[in-house]
Amino acid sequence: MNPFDVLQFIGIPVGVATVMMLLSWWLLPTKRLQPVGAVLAVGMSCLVAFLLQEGIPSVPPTQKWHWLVLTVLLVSVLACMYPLFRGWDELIVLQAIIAGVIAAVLMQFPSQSAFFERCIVLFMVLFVSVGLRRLTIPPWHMYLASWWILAGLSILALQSSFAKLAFFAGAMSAVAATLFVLQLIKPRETKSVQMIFGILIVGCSLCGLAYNQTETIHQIAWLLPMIGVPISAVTYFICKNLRYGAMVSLGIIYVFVSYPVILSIVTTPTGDELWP
Amino acid sequence: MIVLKLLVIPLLVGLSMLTTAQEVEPVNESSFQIDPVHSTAIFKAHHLGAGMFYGRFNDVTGTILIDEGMPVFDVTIDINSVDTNSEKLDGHLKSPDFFNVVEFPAMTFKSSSAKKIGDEKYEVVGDITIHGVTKPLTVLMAKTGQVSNRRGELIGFETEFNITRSEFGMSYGVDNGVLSDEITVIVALEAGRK
Repeated sequence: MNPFDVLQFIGIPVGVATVMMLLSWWLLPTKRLQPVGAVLAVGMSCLVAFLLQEGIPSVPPTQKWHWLVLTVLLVSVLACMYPLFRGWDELIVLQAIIAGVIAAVLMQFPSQSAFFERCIVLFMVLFVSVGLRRLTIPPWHMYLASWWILAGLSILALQSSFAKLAFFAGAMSAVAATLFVLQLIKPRETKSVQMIFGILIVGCSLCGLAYNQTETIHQIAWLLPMIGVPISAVTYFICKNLRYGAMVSLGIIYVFVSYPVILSIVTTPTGDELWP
Repeated sequence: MIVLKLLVIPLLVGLSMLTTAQEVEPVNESSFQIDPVHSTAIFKAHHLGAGMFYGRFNDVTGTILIDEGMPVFDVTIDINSVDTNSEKLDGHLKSPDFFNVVEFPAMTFKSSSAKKIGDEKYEVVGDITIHGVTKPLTVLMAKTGQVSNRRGELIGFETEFNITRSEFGMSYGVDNGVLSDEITVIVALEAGRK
């Protein structure tokens, strides 16, 4: 992996997200419309990250993992519309259920098409989306958690020799990191953004699991980072009166991401490299 | 008695016709089964614009039919059998970056016509399917031998052709020149009569 690839595949989506966010500061000043800026930033950067890897996606896609991006784009369009209808932007759980149903129908990766597995997708999107935002307030938590989780999934994808997913998840991780910094600089309303990160986290996890070609990465390693989100959210809810409740909840996510990543690095044989 | 004759005679005639048909039906004499142990598919690509990188597929199966002296090929290569002498590179080739073995576990070549163009050389036209994409392909197939021994009747063919992998939706590493778009494939087949 050369630095030019990293700059191209990760730098360009980050640039797109930054420009979109800066424009939204200027063009979308009202609190109700503020989430649209972040939604557009994540949605557009997701599309750009995918275009850089695979080109223009066909509908229906030629490969099942392409559904991940199409699902994110569809949910992004919906997320842009919610703030336009008064009251809808408050219905975070309902939005997450709709996103979960869309993901359950569209994101059918190989050997994950059974009804039971569809239900798991729905509930994981629901739990991760709601867990990212509803219980983990303030909003920068969501960006920080998404940054770590997607970075962890990117490393797992790289360890399992799926470079395109590694670059895609890495790019979206960098976008989450950028939004985290921008959120600290200028706090903005983020309702609806959690659904997109929820879809990305669940999608990248299940996609990596479906196409995993190495025996050194255990199946549970793909699931741990996303399982950490609802556990972290519940922990935050329980510890919200504690002074360091936020840190504890973030610490749980850190552990759930770090453990599978470190395990995959330790168990993967060294010496061989991906092309180049 | 007449009724019995009416029933028995057609039955006997029918049975005799059936027996005759079985005798007349030709044994599939010209059909050969590809021997996966003694058949190989090798590929080479230009790596980083420097060396030629070789890999192989260990599991080649299918049939060769000799129809009026012309060979008809139906060859299947198991992508899971890719072997580059590097476990991690094998995994990368199987991933959606390249072959996407989970969704497209095999590549196939089915010939539709063949023309003799020289001594034991044929121009074979058919369809090749890689990564779920089917394209027409014309290859020059050389008959490397045909013998009868204690293993039965064996026949051998070999071909070398080029494909442009991006045409089959496998463009990883093409733009940055990591791995050439043009891939040379050598397929050597040995098949035994069924």
